[in-house]
Amino acid sequence: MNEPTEARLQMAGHWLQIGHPERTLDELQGLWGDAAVDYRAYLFRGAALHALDRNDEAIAVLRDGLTHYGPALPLLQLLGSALRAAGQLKEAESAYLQGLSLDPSEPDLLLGYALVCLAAGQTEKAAALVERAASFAPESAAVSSARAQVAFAQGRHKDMRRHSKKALSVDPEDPGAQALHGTASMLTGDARTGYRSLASAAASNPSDADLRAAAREAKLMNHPLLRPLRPFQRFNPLVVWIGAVAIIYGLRFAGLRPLAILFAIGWFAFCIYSWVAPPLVRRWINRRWGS
Amino acid sequence: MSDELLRPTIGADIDLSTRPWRLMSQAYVAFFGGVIATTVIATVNARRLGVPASGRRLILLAGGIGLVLAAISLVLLTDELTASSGTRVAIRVIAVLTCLAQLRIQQPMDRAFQLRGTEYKSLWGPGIAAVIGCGLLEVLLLALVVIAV
Repeated sequence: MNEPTEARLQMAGHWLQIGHPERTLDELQGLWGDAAVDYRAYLFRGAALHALDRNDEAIAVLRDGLTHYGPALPLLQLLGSALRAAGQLKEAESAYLQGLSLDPSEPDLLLGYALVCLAAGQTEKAAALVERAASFAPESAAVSSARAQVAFAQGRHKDMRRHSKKALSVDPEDPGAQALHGTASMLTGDARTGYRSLASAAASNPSDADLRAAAREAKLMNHPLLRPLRPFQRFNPLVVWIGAVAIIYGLRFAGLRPLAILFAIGWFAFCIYSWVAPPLVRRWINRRWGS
Repeated sequence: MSDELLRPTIGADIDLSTRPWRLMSQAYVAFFGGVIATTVIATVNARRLGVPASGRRLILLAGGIGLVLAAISLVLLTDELTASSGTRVAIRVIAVLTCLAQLRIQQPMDRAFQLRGTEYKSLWGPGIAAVIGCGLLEVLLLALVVIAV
């Protein structure tokens, strides 16, 4: 391979590494002849397309690479991830299992397979796979992130926060870990930290609309006007409602009818506030955020 | 290699083309529509989420228990045929508690859905239909129970 071609491939890999997948694709477009079917060209192109959420194209490129080069673990790992993102869970499972049949102790494949199981609702199997990956890579941030996702799936929010914090301590700039930590903080009632983490994650991934929306919602919850609504974030709103009804009728049965009426009026006003205030503040914040 | 963990387990039981409804939206259906409405919506949603048959049976069981409790509270609290505001609140609390139990059963698969990162479907149309249709059915059923007792 001549030098300019090699330099171009290395540059494509570099762009991918620093989070500019669209530039990777530009770089690879200039390759021709043998260089265009180089192993790295398939790998980088597949990874870039997957990063840009163009998963159907990524799957086609990676399958093409696999027919050229046989079952290579990095290609299978990426293919599994792209198939999962495209919602083809059964096919994603086959890709990971094919990789794991070649190397059953590869932590990235075990974690990737665990995420497929999570998406299919098989949380116990996912947890077991993550723990197996942990036995091969105990200090890995990816293991902590996967543990946080398992905790999310099982509704264990405090554990989710602990694991995402650990992942963040390994790499404080990792957008995935920031997003998990932000979500966990919101779910455990810490809207301030939640906003900070989600906003950092959204800033690193400007193309991710879901992250942007989550950061906006977190900002909304931090607004002083919405502070009274925190109990609804922290506890299930249905439980809060049942609590309020219990208090109203408790006061009535205790012979404190006027107090019960007063509390009921206050509760009703609070309910109306909880319906009216968020849309108004959301509108105001959106106008300030420029969309 | 006989490794249980590395055996394929993902079947075709999850239909990724049908989108479920938000769990908390179902609370409104329970509040305004009652036990039957929340049970119908929860059962349909559980199927969309891919909740196993045992979970769906539990949702129906919770609905059945909720309906029986609503009937009992109505019989105990109602004078003649006029339901007091207390009775109506009691029936609503029972519907919301039933809904809470049904949400718990749906939660694991709802989390899996959230991890797949797809959009929810709007519950407005089916929710209002369930509130009106199933709400009327419930009033009729409970009224029959009161007349019969």
